[in-house]
Amino acid sequence: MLRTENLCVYTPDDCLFENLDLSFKPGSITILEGPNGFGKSMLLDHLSGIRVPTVGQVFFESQDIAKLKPHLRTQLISSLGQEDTTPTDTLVSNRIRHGFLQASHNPIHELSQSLGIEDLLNRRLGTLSGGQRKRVHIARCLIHSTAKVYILDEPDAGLDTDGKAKLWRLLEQKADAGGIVILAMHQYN
Amino acid sequence: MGLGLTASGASLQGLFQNPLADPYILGVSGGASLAGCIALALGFEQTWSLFGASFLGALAVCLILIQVTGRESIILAGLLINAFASSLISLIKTLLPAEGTQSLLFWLLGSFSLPEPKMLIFLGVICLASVLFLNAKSGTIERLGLGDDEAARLGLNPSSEKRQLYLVISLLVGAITAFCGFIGFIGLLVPQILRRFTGNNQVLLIPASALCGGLMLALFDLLSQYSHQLIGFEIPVGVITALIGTPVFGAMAYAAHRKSMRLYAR
Repeated sequence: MLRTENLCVYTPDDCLFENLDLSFKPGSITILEGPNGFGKSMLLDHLSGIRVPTVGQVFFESQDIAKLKPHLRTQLISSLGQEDTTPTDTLVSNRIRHGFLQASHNPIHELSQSLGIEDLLNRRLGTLSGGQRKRVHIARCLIHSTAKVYILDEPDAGLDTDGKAKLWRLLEQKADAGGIVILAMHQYN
Repeated sequence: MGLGLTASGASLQGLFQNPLADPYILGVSGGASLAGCIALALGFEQTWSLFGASFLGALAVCLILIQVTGRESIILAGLLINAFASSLISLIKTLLPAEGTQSLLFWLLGSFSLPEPKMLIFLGVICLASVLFLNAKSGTIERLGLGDDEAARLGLNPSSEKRQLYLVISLLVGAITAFCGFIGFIGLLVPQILRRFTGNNQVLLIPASALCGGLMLALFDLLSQYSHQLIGFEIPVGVITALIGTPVFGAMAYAAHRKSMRLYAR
């Protein structure tokens, strides 16, 4: 279980959340919905451990994730930011492998098939459309087969209907396998 | 030396995701040269003193660069550091007596004539160890180039990793500048050319750049030595790399501009 204790989320000028006690159970999909500037991304950054809370704690089981070494934290939590900053001359297969360096050809091929990008693996990111790049970005997060928690910030932005359906199928599979899935969205439909 | 300059150039380009980043443009070589010039002006002419000073100069610049964020700001910071370093070097040149200025100028322009074998061994060990370290860290450099947040998501501690890399790059650039002077463009040009083939795959790009850079600088050194037979005096290697590097880099930039213009015209 992933849980927060008395978590407060601050920006330099503002207090976004105070005294949050949340818990996320294995097998669950949780969606954080809210308008722009609400603080969804900041909260997800705290949950994924890439920002250390100034007040409060985030635990996975009994382990404070702020005290975990980054490479150990990544073994538990696979997270995806809103923006993709990958250089355009990166190969799609290399980009997916960033998420899980041990990933061999087969899991990458299977996941890319599930996302409809299996024909793009040997192409460079700069030659893809925005929606195709988004699918590659999602694959980077979901390739992590040993993670217990998947945190994705607006994964459906820029995806067409088919892309959204494929994304949901994969997220449900992760949850069915006992994973914790947490998403941020503007609007859940 | 070629191995070290191009491996550090490729690493800096990968880290900052800026094709203009190399030890020369970012002012790391400039900082090393300035510190070396100060050491020379103060009478510390032994190569070991020059090495210590150049390493500290390169490290000081890296410590400044680590505070700068943003792909464009880093080049601006490099330009400022280079302008500051070159103005102070000019001041030192004017303050030194004529013979001191000449030896300083020759050191700045770069030469591979190492007087003692133990220096060659020392420089070789530093270059090889640093290049092997950068090669081993090539995957990390690729992930650091995605930005601090994404690097943290991928299991890295960006500030700690960057500190290690800057330390090694400073050692490498400091040693090369101290022993061979200021050799520019090679660290910029070779990774730029090779990236067209390897893309952003740093695991391929860094070793390939190191190998090609080593070969290319050896070729330029031969040219430098041949110039002595041909025209009676040796053209410093730093001059040859700049003379060849500038038009080639200009042609590459022009070709890239034409390509982007064709894309817009469609």
